[in-house]
Amino acid sequence: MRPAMEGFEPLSKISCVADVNVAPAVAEALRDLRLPEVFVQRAKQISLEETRGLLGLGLGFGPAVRAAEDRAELLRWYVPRRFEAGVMRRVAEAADLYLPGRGSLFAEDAGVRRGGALEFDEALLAELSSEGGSRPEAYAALCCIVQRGMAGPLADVVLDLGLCVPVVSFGEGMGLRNKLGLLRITIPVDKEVIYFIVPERDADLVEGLAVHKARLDRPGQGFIYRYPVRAAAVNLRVRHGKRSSAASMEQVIAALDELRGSSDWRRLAPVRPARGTGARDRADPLYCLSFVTEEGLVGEFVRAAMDAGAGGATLVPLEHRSYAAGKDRPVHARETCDLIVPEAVVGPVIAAAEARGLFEPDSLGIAELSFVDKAVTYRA
Amino acid sequence: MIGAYARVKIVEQLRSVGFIVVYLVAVQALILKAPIQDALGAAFGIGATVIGLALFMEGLFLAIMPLGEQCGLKLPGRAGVAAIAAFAASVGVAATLAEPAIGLLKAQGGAALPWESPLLYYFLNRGSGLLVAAVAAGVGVAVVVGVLRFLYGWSLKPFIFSIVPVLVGISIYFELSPTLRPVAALAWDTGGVTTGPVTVPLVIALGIGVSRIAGRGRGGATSLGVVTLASALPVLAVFGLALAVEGRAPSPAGAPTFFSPVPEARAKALFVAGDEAALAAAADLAVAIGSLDPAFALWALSPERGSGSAASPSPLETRAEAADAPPDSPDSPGRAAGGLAAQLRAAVTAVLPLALILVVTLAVFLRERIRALDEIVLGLAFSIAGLFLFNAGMERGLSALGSQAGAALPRAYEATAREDRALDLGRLSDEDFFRVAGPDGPRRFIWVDHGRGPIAVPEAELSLDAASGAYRYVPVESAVFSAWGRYAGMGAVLLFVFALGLGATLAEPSLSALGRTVEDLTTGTYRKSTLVRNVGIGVGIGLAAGFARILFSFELSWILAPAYTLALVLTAFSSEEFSGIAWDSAGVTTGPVTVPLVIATGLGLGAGGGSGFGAVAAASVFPVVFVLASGLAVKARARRSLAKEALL
Repeated sequence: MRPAMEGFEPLSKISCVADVNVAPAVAEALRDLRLPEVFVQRAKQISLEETRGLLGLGLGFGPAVRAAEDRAELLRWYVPRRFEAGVMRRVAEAADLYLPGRGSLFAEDAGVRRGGALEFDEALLAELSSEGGSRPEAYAALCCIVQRGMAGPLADVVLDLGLCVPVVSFGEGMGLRNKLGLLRITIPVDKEVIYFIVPERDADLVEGLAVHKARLDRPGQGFIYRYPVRAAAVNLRVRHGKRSSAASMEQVIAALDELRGSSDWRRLAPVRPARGTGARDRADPLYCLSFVTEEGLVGEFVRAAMDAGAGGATLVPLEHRSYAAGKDRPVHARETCDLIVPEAVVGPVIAAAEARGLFEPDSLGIAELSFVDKAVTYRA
Repeated sequence: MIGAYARVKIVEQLRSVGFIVVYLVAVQALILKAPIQDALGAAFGIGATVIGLALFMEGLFLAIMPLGEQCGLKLPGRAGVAAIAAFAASVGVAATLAEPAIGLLKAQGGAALPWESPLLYYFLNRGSGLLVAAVAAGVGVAVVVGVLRFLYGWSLKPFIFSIVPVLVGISIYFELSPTLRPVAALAWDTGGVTTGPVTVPLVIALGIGVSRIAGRGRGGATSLGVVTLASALPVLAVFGLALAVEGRAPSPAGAPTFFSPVPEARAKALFVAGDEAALAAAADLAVAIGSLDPAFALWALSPERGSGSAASPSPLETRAEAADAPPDSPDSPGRAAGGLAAQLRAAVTAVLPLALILVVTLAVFLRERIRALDEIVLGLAFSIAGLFLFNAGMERGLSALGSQAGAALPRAYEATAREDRALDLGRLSDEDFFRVAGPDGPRRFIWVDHGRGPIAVPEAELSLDAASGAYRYVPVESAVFSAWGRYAGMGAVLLFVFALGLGATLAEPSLSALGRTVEDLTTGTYRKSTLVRNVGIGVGIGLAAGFARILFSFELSWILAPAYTLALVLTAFSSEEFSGIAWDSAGVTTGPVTVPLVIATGLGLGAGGGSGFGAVAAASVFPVVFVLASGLAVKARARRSLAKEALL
């Protein structure tokens, strides 16, 4: 176990991005699993839609291919690691996530610390795990925080290259802005959080595109970090709509990637680290430290964390649901924030948050720690 | 930093207001060929409107909405249902009492005559307090029901399906009654104007907060719907009030019947007018406009005129005094300062009481720390300053342009006497005229030159002042679209009104706040620009229908009944989320930009006296149809897309 993870309960954090029409099926599966705690975040999936044009004649006043945004929910929950595969299989089958366009399902290792313990129906979960499950594939998840309005252009570039289906949520930034007093109102607080789930071989390409397109090498433009995940289902429907051939271009590209063993054959330009960007080396590992609290409180803990040495954070509203029998929490609104911190700062930040009352009953607070492969942002 | 921030906000508002300004100026100057009066004043007014909008919108998002949302988040967990209901009711009532738009309706109804529309006259004059109280009660109940809806997870659709048909049914019943008919349009319009620029964002944020904390799992824009109820229930309240007092008011009749000394008739006339002095004043007005014989008035009111009329001047005397008084130009310092003071008072009244209720609830009753207090204080200051500048600027800028355009609109379809080009010819002798033989005998003409070369004007077109013996010539211009006929001109007016509605909607602050909220709640999949565009088109069509009613004189229910029926059908097939978005957009759309422009345009078309009511109501229903239709299209596309993949 990594030193920073001491004091944290090792769990699997499973994330499911589901189209809003598919989300009820996911919720039904989670209810069957009697999971005690599920956090839901509003999101959207962006893909390319081919249109027929006016009267199906290919005529029209706009582009034949346009970006289509579909409402989605990003559901997250924790399970003991031994039950991860069975739970993912169950959810993927219940919601037909293996079909393109419906959503994605992936898991990562996380350490969780909280005031009270989570109670799982372990007998039920054990029964599911014993039924076996398909082996999840190793993928990379990239999370990119940008100014509001930048997600669209970045998604367009990624979609044009057929790399993945970006998932976008809205959030608010905290950091330098909060140290400016009232002048902070002159700095836009709205952020877009973009998630890319790609094969590991494509992670560098996506990272390079994000840095270039979103100008992450300039101060205040945002940052991107990546972490390893195990994907049970990935939404590969980059393009949909009118079909004029037996296989889509994405299917052909995926087949060639499989044959060639990577996507290097279709790289368009050498990828070099942009000037002004920084990436941590392995001697100074990074972690993603997330706080989940009752709505309205997470800002306090972020400030405590920043005082203890953390950088900025992005706040995202969450909805809390419980599918455990007999559980009825009266408060459903939550907030979460993600801080990317070096290993040496994890301890002081947790201590500061705990001193502020993160794990008190009123806060309903959770601290989650997960390893980050790489983070890129502007460095002076 | 501050400069860049301010520039972004101001440019954003300039874009919203730019279309309607350019449009009004272009139509008036280029199509109707009416000069822009006080252009410099209008330009300053528009500038104040833009800056005011920028400040006000920023204040909304810094202070009003965060306070509302924080109240909504904290109340359900800390207070019982009764306390929540009491809070919601106080917010609804305070919002209405602070809402200045009721005054705008009163301005339009100022020309209502007590014998032609007695009940309408009563509600807009002596009974205006009751009217406001009914509206306030309606809004208060609406906010309570709206909040309880989120707490208990009630769907919005049953409320829509039960309330709207009742309102339409009552409206049709009202139109069958001569006494109640003038009030039907007033009732619908109160529903449209009562949800103002401060109320709407506040109740939206309150609803979002309660919905998030109650967490019924539907999420997204299902937290909307309070504005819908706050627009519909006041209409029901005004209908109820009218039915309650109907028996005490006389039926519409001629002036002699209204002023009849018969005890029963006199009692009803006094109920409408208020007291003997007001009745006498109304009689003076009737005499002045030729609706009542002076001798009859003297006889009918003789026991009262001795005691009552001396105490208060009659309208005739007031008008005479006004004619003799030096012209009170808008630029006179006294009047200008008084007007600005009133605007400032109105802005403070619109913002502070509501904000105080929220702050006291949070700090005192809920013992909750107010988040970002410095931003809240700054935001409130922005809101007050912004609303003041906006209202003051609207009066001098957009409303003035709208009044001018409205006054010039009849030129589109009928010949117009151009008072602005009148010529005083002085005393004329026979030698100044020349005779021309004609089929009906010789006629006398005079040569007149008003800057476009001499023209021969028949003597019959000159007006003679008997006292001074001076002649005056007012040229009459043919309709702008006379070549295509009267109906083409009317069609042009309706097109103008459509574009007016569309342009005004783009500038509405409440709609902008709702659009941004919807965009946030749907994670950008339903953009603010899409909502504003759909609502704008709906408002434009609704206003055109409303003004068609003025031009062609038909009942308001002919517009509302089919439109609401279509809206109800679409609602049945729509998601809960889009139902809330669509019906709320109807409630927010007729706001401080659209309503004054609509009223000014209506007055210009001669829609005073009550016939202009209803345009606002018509403008409120069509946006529902368009937004619901767009929501159904989105839903169909998403389902089709997923279904196609499942088949492959």
